[in-house]
Order: sequence, then C-alpha cells, then structure tokens
Amino acid sequence: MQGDQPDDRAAFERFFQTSYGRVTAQIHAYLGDRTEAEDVSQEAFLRAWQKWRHISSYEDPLAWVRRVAWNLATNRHRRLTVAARVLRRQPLVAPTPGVEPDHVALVAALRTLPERQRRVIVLHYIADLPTAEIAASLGVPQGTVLSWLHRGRAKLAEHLSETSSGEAVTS
Amino acid sequence: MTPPEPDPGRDDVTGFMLRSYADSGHLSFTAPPADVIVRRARRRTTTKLALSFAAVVAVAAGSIAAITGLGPDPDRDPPIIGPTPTPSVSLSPTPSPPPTPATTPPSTPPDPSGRSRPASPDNTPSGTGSAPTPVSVRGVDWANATITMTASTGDECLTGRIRFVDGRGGRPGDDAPHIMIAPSYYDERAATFGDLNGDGRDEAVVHGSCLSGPGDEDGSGQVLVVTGRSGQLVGSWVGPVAEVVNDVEVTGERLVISSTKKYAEPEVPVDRTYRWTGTRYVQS
Repeated sequence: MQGDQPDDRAAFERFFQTSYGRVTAQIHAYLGDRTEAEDVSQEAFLRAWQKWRHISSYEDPLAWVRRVAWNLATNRHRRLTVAARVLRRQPLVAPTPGVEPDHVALVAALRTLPERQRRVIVLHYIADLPTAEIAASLGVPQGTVLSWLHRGRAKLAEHLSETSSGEAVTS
Repeated sequence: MTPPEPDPGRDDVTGFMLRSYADSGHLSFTAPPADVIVRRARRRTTTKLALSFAAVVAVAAGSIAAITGLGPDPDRDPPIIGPTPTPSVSLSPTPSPPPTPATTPPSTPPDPSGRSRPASPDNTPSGTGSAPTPVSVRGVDWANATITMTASTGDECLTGRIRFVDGRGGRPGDDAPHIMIAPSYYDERAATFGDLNGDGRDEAVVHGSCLSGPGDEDGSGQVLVVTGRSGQLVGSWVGPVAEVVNDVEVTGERLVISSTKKYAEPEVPVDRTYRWTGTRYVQS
C-alpha cells in the first residue's frame, strides 16, 4: 500500500525532488529521448509511491527506483529502436534551449553505440555504479563489462571527434 | 584480484563530457510537483475500484439474464460466459476470466458452416483434414492459452509458439524475457471481439506486454490482435506502445484504439484506426 500519512508524503516528496533529475538524466542518456526518459522515470517513482511504506524502509530506496526505471527503459528501448533509426536519418536540428550543447552531443553520440555498450557506459560513468555491481545486475562476468566499457568508450571518442567540427545535433 | 575501475578521466573530450554529464546532466530535468505522481497513483486505484464495482454489477446482470433466458446470441461465436458483443463492440466489464476450453463444454453445438467452433483443449485445431480448421477466439482462457506470436518490425519480443500459464508466457525466471497477457489493459475488462479481416470470423483484441524483467509491467504494453483462422491462435502486436489504452473498438473491419500518453498534460485521448492488409495491420 502507498503511504498516506503526512510524514510519508513529505518524505516521498523530498525523495522525489532530490532524485528525479539524476534518474531521468541517466535514462535520457540511455534512451536518447527526453520525453520517453521523463515518462519512464515518473512511472518508476509512481511505483515507488504505491509501495512507499516498504520502499522507504530500504537502505537505498533510490536503488529500487533506478532498477525499475532501467527495466522500463530497456524494454522501451527495444520498441524505440526503429523510431531512433528513422530519427537519425532526419535532418539534424538545434539542441533544446537551456540544455548544455555538450550534453546534447554526448547523448547523440551514445545513441550510435550498441545497446550493451551504451548501457554499461551510462551505468558506470554517469550513474557511477561499480563494474562488479553492473556485472551482477546484467548476469555477465565483470571482464565482459570492462570489455564493453573499453569498446564503447573507443567508439564514443571516435564519434565525438567526428562531430566536434561544429555539427548541430538533435536531443 | 579485482581489476581497477575504468575512470572517465578529464584529459580528453570523451572523459570531460561524460564527467560533465554525470555532474550536471540532472539540472536540465525539473521534477514535476510530487502531487502529479500521487494523483496519478490515486487515479489508477480509483479506476480499478470502479471497474471492480462494474464487474460485480455485470455478474448480477448476467445472472438475471440467465434466469430470464436473455442469454447471448448463439448464432455468432458464443462466448462461454458474459454478454455477447456484436461485430462492433466496445470493452465491457466481465465478472472473471472465462473458464478454459479444456474444462468447459461448448455452450452450443458447432455451427455446420464452421463459423463458430469451440477451441480444442490447447487451443489448437482438432480436425484431421489437410486444411486447417479455424478455431474460435471466443471462450479462450487468455491466461492459459497457447498463442503463436508474430514479430513486429524492430521488435525483439519473444516470437513463435508461446504457452501462457497464469497470464505469463516465455522463459522461466523473473529476469527472463517473457510476455504477459490479459483480456484488456484494465484487469477487470473483457477482451473485445470483431471481424477484422473480412472472413466472417471474429478476431480477439486483448492486451500484452513484452517484458525483460521485473518492474516494467506496463511499460511495454500494447494491443494484441489474435486470430484463429489458420487453425491456431496467432497474435499480432498493433498500435502504440506503452500508452494507457482507454478503449478499443472493432467496427467495419477496422480496429480503433483510443489511448492516452502517460503523464500528458492535459490528457487528450488519441484515436488511431488500423486495418488488416492481408499480411499485417497498418494505420489507416
């Protein structure tokens, strides 16, 4: 059951306000779509609120929300694959006002990576999760995660050096 | 020995951009008021409660109809229980999932024309001729059916013959890819029926979700059209993904899906119409 006491509500609001941006930014880096990222993130927090009595007692409630958000995102990613391919063929447009151009370029570059490489790069370099924890959550050896990180990082560097000539990219 | 953790570094463009995004990427996302989340959660609960009440009313109405002889039309793919939709039907509440064909005798004899026929125990054809005998999608226990899932473009969801048990089909284990199926987006509603390919037999319109693990129960939900024309139940994904499906309707061999994007403000339902081309469903 969701928490319905004033204290529960206040605690959830604090948790939501302080955590929402980081969860959404991670999912955005993975999905490459701001609207989808906000949708996924809000859904994850909604589920946290529905079970807030339990979730709030966890040592790390954010880990629960992040896991749910990533499960939603990885599923959503499959459905977005075709749309993303189509989008990449469209003329490039200016970035969203108020958003760091470097961040827009990074998210666009991440979108060119294979899904596994993009996922581990976001989880490790942006969400700051240890490679051992990523390996455990994905059910692969830690060496595999390190290999994906290495290859993804190399491709990312290659792509960013190509686009650093001043090309505008879409968010 | 534990390998060293890769460090993004700051001495190259890639490392700098990764660190910058990790440090300040969240600043471009402003959380909506928490009240938006709380209200949405409350609305979902209210909807489910309202539909539960409607289901109780439907049970009572069905009982009265049975007593007074006002039963379903036996000439058109009669359902095992519940009111009979016409070829153009909207979602209606149902008291509970229909019993399995394996345990429920057909309510009427098979129609000589082949237009109405109960499904065999595992929802596969019982005929022995060379031509497949169409199976009826009426009376199917969707939670325990066997459905051949076709692939959608760009979809990595499970395909092929999937046997559902308690609404779940696919590989065992919470983290394994699987498909959840239900008669409707809303648990308490029944499947929708109507002829979508013009062969005079009804298709069923249900709801499914292609899942990769826990937590994404309705993040990937989509309308699923199931036909029995080839002698087995064959499912095709149709329409928008991961939206709130308010209603579906079959009319004039067209499927109209009314859906709302989650968290859209204001919430404006969008109607999309789909038709069968002979090989797939396309938006018209």
